[in-house]
Amino acid sequence: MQIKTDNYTLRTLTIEDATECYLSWLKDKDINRTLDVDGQGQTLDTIRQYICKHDNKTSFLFGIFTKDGDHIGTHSFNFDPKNKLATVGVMIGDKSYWGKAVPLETRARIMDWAFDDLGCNKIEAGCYSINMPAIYNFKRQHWGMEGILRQNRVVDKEFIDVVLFGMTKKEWYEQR
Amino acid sequence: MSSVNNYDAKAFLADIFEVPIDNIPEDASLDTYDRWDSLGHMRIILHLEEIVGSTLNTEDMLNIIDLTNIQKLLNTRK
Repeated sequence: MQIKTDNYTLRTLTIEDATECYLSWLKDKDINRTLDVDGQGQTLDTIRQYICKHDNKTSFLFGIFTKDGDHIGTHSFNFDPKNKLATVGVMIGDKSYWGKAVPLETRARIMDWAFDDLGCNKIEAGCYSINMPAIYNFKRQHWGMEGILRQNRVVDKEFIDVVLFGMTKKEWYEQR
Repeated sequence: MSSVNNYDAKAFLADIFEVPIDNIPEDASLDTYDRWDSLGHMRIILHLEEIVGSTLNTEDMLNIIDLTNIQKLLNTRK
């Protein structure tokens, strides 16, 4: 499926999207240090397996594409229909798009789809406390801070916190 | 960054964003000041940590959203 924003297209990924470029993002320490991924252990096959884990019914892996068709990142989206609860994640792999508000635009459109079309009532997300740009994006989008998981991850041999955020349908609609 | 600017939030932000101090609105926040983007936010946090001499704890870091809260943090170092 496809979701369009002003500047990007979100499209569910297929195994053909498991490219050397995508692999290079996962192996980049600037990118993988704040992700729950073993960057060095990744191969094109592990990426294909990860893509195939998403059934496009309750579990989606969207690629973020520019209008020129360049793949610059991904959004994961997992929906629990019983509790009408979803979890969303984002990775901007193309570093030339860092600082360009991509997640603000693309995640907003995913939230529109989730609340308007999917029947979602609440979306959760989280990030490492050292991921300051991600925290900026959550704050800028007025996500509620739901909690801090203290010393929940090890990065560069230091314990760091994970920050949890949430957005209800009501909260999103009030600011939309 | 010049030390004379270290304890005034407006001057601090002017240094971060490389603009004249008069360019910083009184109510500058990550919501309202268009220069305050995600990478600028990272520069703010890292420079604040340099000034206070230690990594900000998560609660303090989450409060860095506007001029008022930056000034509160800088005041702890005066």
